[in-house]
Amino acid sequence: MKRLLVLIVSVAALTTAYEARAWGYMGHAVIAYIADHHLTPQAKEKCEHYLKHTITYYCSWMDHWRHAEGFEETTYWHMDYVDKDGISTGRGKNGDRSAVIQTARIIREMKNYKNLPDSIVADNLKYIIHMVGDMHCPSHIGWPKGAIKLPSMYVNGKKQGNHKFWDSAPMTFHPKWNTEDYRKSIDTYSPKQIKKICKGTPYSWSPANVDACQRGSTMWESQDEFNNLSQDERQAIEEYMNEQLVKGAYRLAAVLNNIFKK
Amino acid sequence: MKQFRYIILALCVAVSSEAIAWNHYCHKTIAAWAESELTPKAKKEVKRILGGSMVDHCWWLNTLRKDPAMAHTKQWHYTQLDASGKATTQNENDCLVQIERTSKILRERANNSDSLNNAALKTLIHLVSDLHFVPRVRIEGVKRSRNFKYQYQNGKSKKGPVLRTTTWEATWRNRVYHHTCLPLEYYIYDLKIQSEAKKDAYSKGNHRDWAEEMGRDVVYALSYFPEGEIIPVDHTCRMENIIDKNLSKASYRLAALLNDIFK
Repeated sequence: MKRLLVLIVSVAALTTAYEARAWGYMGHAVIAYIADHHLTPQAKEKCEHYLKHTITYYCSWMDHWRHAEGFEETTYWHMDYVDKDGISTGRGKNGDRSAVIQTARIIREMKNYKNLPDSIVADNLKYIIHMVGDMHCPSHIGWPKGAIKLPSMYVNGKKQGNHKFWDSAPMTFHPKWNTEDYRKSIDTYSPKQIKKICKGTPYSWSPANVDACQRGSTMWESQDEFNNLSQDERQAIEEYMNEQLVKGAYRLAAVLNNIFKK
Repeated sequence: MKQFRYIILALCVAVSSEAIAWNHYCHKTIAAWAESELTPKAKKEVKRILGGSMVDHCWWLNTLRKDPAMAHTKQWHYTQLDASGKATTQNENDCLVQIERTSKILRERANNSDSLNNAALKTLIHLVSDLHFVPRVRIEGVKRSRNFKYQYQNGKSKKGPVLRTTTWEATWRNRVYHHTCLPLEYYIYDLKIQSEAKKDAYSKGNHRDWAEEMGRDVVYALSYFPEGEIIPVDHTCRMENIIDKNLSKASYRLAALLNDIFK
C-alpha cells in the first residue's frame, strides 16, 4: 500500500511538472533549437563558452527559477504588457517590467559583454533565450482586464484556459515530435524572408505580436473542443502557432548573432 | 533454462509506459554515448552479441523485472553502501555484484552460449547506467537515501506560500524530463561541452569506486533536502548539475568497461 501511494505521488508530481511547463518546455525548446541552427559559428562558440551548454538547454531556465529566492522579480519578465488599444506599455503588475523592456535592456548591456563578468553574461543569455521566445507566445500579451476576450478550449474533454492552451499547443498538435521533427517541418523560410522577419528590435516586434494575439483570440469559439474542430480550423491554428515559433527562433538567433558579431 | 527465459521474456514484455519514458531517455542517452566511445573492436563485438545497437537493448532489464519469476532482479537496479560509504557488498542481488557477474560472463564469452552473452551484455549496459542515478544508491543507516516525501515551495499566492508535495525519486526524474524532447545526439553534444575534457578522469577506477563516489553525491544532494523542512524550489533545480555530470560519467565508464572487456 505504501509503495502504491509513493507511486501515485510520483506520477502525480511528474504529471504536474509536465503540464506546468508544456509550451513552457516544448515551445521554448523548439525556438531555441531552431535558433541554434541559425547561429553564426562565432555566436554559437561564444554562447557555449559562457553557458557551458547549448542555448536549448537553458530555454526554460527562467521558468524553473522564477520562484526561487532572489529571482521573484523576474516572474514579471515573461509577458509584454499592453493597454486596451494594444499599445505596449512596459508596465507589469509591479512596475516597469516586461519581456520587451528587459530584453531590450539586456541587449544594450550585452553590447559591452567583453567587460562583464562571465556569470553575468551567462545569466543574461539565459534571460534572452527565454524572453524572446515568450514575447512570441500568443498568450504572453498582458491585457488590461476586460480589454479582450480570450477563449478557452477543451482538449480531450479537459478545460484549458487560453494561456494554457497556447502554452501547451506544440505538444497538443504533435505529442510524439521532438525538436528536430519541428525544425524539419517549420524551419523552411528563405534567407530573404528570415532577414525581413529579423529586422527591427524587441520594441518594433511588439505590435505584430499583439496583432497575432488578437488574431489568435478569434480562431475558435470559447469552450470549443479541440478534437471537434474542423481540419481547416486546426490547420489554421497550427500554421499560426508555427509562424510564431519560427519567428521567435529566427529573431533569437539574430539577437545572439548581433551580440557576438565582434 | 534460465538463459532461455531471458530471451522469451525480452520478446514478450511490453515496452515501457509514458510515465517512465524519462528514464528510458537517460538509458538511451548513456547507451548511445557509450557506443560512440567504443573501440572498433569492442563495437564489432557488441554488435555481434546484441545483434543491434546498445540503444535498442538498454531498457531490457526493466522489462525483465516485471515477470513475477524474475522479481528478485528488481534489487539489481540498486546498490547498498555500508555505513561509512564503502562499496563492500557481496549481496548477489546488488547492482555491483551483478556488474561483476556479467563482466565475468562476457570476459569468458568464448565458453558461453550466445543467449547468455546477450543477456549479460544487456544487463551490464543497464546496470552501469542505474549505478549513476542518485536514487539507486543507498547508504546503510541513511534511511532517506531510499525514498521519502517532502514539500517544496513553488512561489507565493495571496494565501501564502504555494506548497507542493513530491518524492526524492520523482525529483530526479523530473529534472531530466524536460530534456526528453531533444534528439539524443543533440543532448549528448550538449553534455559533452562540459565533460569531454574530463573524459579520462571520469573513466578511471572500477564500479566499486564509482559507487562510493555516487554515495558522496547522495550525501551532498541530501544536504539540500533537510528532513522536516520546506525545500526552496531552487534546491531541486540545483540537482540538474549532478544529473548532467553523472550521465557523462556513466557514458564514459560504460565505454571504458566494454573496451576493456572486449580488448
